[in-house]
Amino acid sequence: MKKGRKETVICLAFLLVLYALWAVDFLYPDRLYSDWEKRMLAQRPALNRTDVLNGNYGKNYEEWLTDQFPLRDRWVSVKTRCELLLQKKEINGIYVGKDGQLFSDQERTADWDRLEMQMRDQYGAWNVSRIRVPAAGAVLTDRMPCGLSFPFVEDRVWENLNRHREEYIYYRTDHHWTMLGAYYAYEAWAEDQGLVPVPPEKLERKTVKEDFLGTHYARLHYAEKADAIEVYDPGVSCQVVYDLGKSDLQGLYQAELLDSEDAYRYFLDGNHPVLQIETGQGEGHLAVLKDSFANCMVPYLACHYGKITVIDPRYFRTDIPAWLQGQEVTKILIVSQDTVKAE
Amino acid sequence: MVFSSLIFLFRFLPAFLTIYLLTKERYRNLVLFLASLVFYAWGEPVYIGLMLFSTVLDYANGRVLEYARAAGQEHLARGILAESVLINLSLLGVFKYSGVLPLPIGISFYTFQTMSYTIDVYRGEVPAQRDLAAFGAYVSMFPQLIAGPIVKYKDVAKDLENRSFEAGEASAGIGRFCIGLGKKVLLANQIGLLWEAVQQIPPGQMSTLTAWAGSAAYALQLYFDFSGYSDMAIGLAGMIGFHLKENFDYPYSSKSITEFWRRWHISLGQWFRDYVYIPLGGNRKGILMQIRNILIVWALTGIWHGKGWNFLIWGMYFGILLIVEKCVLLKLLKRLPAVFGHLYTLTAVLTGMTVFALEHLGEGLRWLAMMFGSSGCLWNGQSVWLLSNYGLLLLFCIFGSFGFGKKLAGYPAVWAISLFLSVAYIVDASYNPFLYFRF
Repeated sequence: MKKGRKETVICLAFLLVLYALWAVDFLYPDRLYSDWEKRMLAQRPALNRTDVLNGNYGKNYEEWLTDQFPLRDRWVSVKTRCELLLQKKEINGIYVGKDGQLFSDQERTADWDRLEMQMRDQYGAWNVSRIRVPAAGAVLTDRMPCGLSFPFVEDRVWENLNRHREEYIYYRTDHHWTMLGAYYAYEAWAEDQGLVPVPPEKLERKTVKEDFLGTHYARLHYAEKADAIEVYDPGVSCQVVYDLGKSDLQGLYQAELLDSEDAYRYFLDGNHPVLQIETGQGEGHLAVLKDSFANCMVPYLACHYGKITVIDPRYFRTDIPAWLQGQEVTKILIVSQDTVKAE
Repeated sequence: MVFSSLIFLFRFLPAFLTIYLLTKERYRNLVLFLASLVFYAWGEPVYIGLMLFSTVLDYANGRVLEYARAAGQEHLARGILAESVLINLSLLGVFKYSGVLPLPIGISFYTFQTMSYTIDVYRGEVPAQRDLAAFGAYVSMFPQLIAGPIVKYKDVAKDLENRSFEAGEASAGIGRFCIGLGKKVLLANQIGLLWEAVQQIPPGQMSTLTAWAGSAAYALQLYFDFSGYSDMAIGLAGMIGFHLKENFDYPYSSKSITEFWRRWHISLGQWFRDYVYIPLGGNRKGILMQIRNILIVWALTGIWHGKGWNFLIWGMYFGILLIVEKCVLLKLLKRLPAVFGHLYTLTAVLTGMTVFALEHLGEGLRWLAMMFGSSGCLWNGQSVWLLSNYGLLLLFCIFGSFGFGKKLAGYPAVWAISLFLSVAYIVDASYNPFLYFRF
């Protein structure tokens, strides 16, 4: 008799679990946008005959159900922990390294080589410089998982980063470098350009966020250790015009974004098509063509040029060489991530 | 609809079970039939007509057959049988092999089921089903509709007439379902990623170890996927009082190919035995006829799996192996220590699986060459990386496929963990950060 009771309990518990999740799902409000995934989520599909008959309704309904499933992030985190227990080192496209360091491949963000050629033609090779940002895995090689490595070029930037590999130069939970990492790249570049880099002791160091979780975290919903966002401010007060005045943002740092899901946007408010910066520091007009890695490097550059124009070619829809012609630019710097895949 | 989806787990299944249990017993076949149609139509409403056609036709065939037999009209009975087999095979031929139309889900399974029905009625082994709803429930029964097992009508005839809810059977069914779900989602899908990764390696960089790991991953994926589906089918059927036969019995632990095929996709093997091999004369007409019969059965088994040439070759490969075993090898294997039998079986099965997996024969042959050392490199950094990622899972899968974890599958706590983790993995599979998130 007792045995029969246990089995009845199992049957009821099973049904109850299925219903409970249904109920939670029903009560859980639908969201339009996922901050972590940075995409619009599927919404409840409209019921109509054509869609039902061609099977689209079924497909859309399932998409809606999965996109709006309650506590998705928690479920993902359960899965990641399970994978880690199985000793997996590559989870959802993220490589799990030592000491909580996470790595990822770097995709091609724009045709930087072509841009460089165009700029060299327009301004002369000596006025155009380039910083190729090495992947974290190309510098922090000792923290990479066994059997995996990133290809890299041993240029001055890489050498300087490599010299400081023990310092906090790349985030663990995000694919970007830290402002300190950007400093070492800037240092190498400045020396190359015959400029005197701002010495580290002149930088005002402050920690603006201690629980930063970045894009790597977004894929895993797991991090051994959260990151800190540290600012090394050279103390140049700048006038910044965002998007040719279409936006009323000001300054190089956006403190209110520190509490968002994308705290790296603290620097220059993420990626804007174009920024115009007046520094009041000396002569010259530098144009920076860049992806997001340059966002935390611009404050250092501000020490050397009177004007800086920052262009993100991925979002700047105008023909860049033509647009720059009217800007009296004297120097060009291209900052972009190296396109690399771990192997 | 597939079992390993949120919509099945948290909408269809609870709704179906509730309605089913609240319905009076004599209407339950109808509920099952209608629910199965919804299940089937969910992803592909067009082909519902095809299944209804098949259902009604063979229902009618059964009735006429029974009438013909009762009236002693042997010619009519034969004609009906021929018509039924012909139409079912034509459906299969047109939809599966012509390549013009998209494949209706489960057609290979339900056409074989309806054929088994008319043949059994013709043979007088079962009475024809008079209740269209009950027959419809048999043909379209959603637990086994899309991936088997192939249920012979005579095996569930009793359950169709008379079954009741029994907590013991239902809870065992729940356990079976949860374990099957875990096998599919946690093992098959995950080890499948290793096979996917290996396939993307350019042939020049492939080491022997990687090639073997890839083949093993594929074989394990196939086993856990298929047997997981069978478990889920048997479990779901158990929840509503049906008793389906086992479809897998740890095939990789076999000591010969003959034994392997008694343990792998049992319901298909039995179908071909009952409806092809034995009617052809089986082993009763001398060794030459037996060899012919085996070759016919295995050519058909190969073709049943798909329309590529590789499937035919795959079937013949096993047919020939079985003949060789029958003639000499089995006697030899019996005298050797068991480990030889295991090694021989696994090697032969993995080789066969590779042919099965790769639709282009050249590719299959190149792969086999790599497995047997054509790369000239036993292992490299790549194999180390892959095995450090998948080694533990691979070991679990190997142990599991040999039946070492058998006892675990009996604990309700394990069922719960399996269900919980499966949901996490299913949710994660739909979790796709926007491609450009990195910028």
